[in-house]
Amino acid sequence: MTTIYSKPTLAASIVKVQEHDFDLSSELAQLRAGDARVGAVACFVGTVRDINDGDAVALLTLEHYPGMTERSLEAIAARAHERFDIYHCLIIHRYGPLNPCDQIVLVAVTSAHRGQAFSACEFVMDYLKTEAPFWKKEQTPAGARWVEARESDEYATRRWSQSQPL
Amino acid sequence: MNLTVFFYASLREAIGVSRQALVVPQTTSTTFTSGQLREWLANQPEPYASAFAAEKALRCAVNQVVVKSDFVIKENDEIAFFPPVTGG
Repeated sequence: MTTIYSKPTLAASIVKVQEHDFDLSSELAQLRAGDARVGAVACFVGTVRDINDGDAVALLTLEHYPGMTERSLEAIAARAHERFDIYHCLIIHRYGPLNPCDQIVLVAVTSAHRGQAFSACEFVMDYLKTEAPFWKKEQTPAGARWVEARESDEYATRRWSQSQPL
Repeated sequence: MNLTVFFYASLREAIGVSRQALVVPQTTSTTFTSGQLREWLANQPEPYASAFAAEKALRCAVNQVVVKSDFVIKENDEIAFFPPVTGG
């Protein structure tokens, strides 16, 4: 499902929750197409590792909550627009079976200068990790197991509510 | 009160289905909260008793927004329980 909406300032949020892979170059090209206000594009790509908590991971399966997932990601993008001086925010998150080295998630943010783009990109990823309803299940030699939530991710998100807006 | 509850991830596997229609007896109080629903589920036969045991870390979403245990549930709300999220 793809949702596109624009604020009066032309700030745009794009959220895609999809099973298929994405191409970083074409996504970034589309995101800033023809917008000469943009002087910075910061992006983060999360990928599948072949080891977690000391065990080999052969396959990662991502489950999500259709409907709530999109709504949650849109809310995070909207918060990034409120907090940072950015033009566009793109979030793509995959679900279904993924192999080591596959791309899982893309967050890309544009702004006039790099500072706001870097910060907003990290802000979106931190909130995505603790709020968006995705769950990872990994296949290891000992069998399948659900990945446990990490305290360090909660901590990363809490930092944003403690620090002053930039 | 008639409710449909959705389960995700490890909780879905523990319960064995992804959604369940429930008839929750009306309590004497006028409101019914997400916390009361969780308690009621923990008092049902297995697999509910273990899956909803108090020590389990679970989140509740009503109408696709995570809520606290004092959130008041109404009939026809979309209710979901799931473990802490691990995407990204």
